[in-house]
Amino acid sequence: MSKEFFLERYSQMGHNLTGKEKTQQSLRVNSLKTTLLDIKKEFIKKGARFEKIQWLKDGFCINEVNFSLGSTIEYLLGHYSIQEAASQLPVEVMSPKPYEKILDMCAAPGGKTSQIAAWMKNKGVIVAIDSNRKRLYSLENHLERCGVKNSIVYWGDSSEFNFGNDKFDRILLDAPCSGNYVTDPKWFKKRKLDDIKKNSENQKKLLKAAINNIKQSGVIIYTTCSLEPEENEFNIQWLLENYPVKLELFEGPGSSGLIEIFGNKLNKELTKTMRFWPELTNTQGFYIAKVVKK
Amino acid sequence: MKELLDFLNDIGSKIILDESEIVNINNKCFKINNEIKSLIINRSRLVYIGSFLGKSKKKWVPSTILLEEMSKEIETNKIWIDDEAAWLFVCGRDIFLDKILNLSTELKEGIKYLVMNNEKCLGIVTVESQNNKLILSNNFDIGDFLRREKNI
Repeated sequence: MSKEFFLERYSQMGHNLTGKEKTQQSLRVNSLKTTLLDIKKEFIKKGARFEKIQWLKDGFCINEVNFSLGSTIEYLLGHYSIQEAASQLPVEVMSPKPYEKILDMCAAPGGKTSQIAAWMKNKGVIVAIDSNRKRLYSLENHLERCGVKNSIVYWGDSSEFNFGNDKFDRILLDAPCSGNYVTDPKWFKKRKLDDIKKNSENQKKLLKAAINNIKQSGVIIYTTCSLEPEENEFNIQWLLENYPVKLELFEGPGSSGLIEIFGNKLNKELTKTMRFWPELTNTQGFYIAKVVKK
Repeated sequence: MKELLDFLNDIGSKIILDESEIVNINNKCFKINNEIKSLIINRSRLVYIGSFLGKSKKKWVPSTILLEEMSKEIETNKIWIDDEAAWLFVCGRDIFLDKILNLSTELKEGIKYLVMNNEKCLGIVTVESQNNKLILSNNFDIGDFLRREKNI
């Protein structure tokens, strides 16, 4: 598939993208170890220019920096993580609380897992699973560096784990997806529509597992870093048609999920989901749905 | 477990560990509470759990979580260094005596010390003699995270 093919699809969804949109480098302050104020002081001392991201609790973007953000003593001590702005919102929307039981279904490399632990103040339990052993090594490092003490990490396919009657209060399904061109310069050359459709089938399998493992009235956050509707609205439409769930509105800088795509009319509830269009949010492409089990 | 206890003892730590709270996975040692214990469903697929304490790799390699806890708990066996020496230390270098700003107890050959930069614990050294001079030999530093990532 060509760049033109995908840009034409986005145009049909009402967005004239150039394919050259970029995202700013962003950080998340680790509240398990430090405060936003202390990190600000440290960065001012180092001569960095940065600003708080207004729609995030612990995020700020870097405007100018003359050192490597991934090799400072503060980074090594776990005081902050490098985490793209849009990808910080799912955990904020999920709002995990101390003493809850959380499932992070596709957890590696662990940025969101450590963010969940920070929201929980290291109290309660996070079960984190990923099928990619190599990426799990990064997750292990991330958890240690950030001082996470309340996780159980498994290697495997999270759709195949049986937790019996142990249901979760909240589930994060940051589903494996085709990604987007903002964070991957070679994206247009790599992606095919067939791959996106295959991803969609896997994502439905994971959504089904999430439904089986969530408590009644529990919250599932479904998220991808894809702009393709097959991985986003079409999956949530399928979920609404097949399971006792509803969608909840939440705040954020993105646009409403689409309800008419390529001539298909979808459930109007999907306007409660959120799309991050790169030209509007200055972030990567992203999609978030907050699903509540009835 | 013995290596961990010896390590804690060597550095004067009073941290008490209950064997029933310890889980070993591939030579890595973790401390867990009862809530976490009750949620283990598939031991063979477990890769990380609770509070990581360190790993046995010929000698005991402490986790940064354990070092942070120890640095808050112990009053002896600590040395403080300045920002410049701190950066060289996390790049894997040893520390020369003239870089020490302060120390909690007199240096003795063969003894381990926590390396501090203000209130931050950066790693651990052993006092060694080289060419009739004492140096602080780097046993472990937090720059290990970057070195590990390169090997993934």
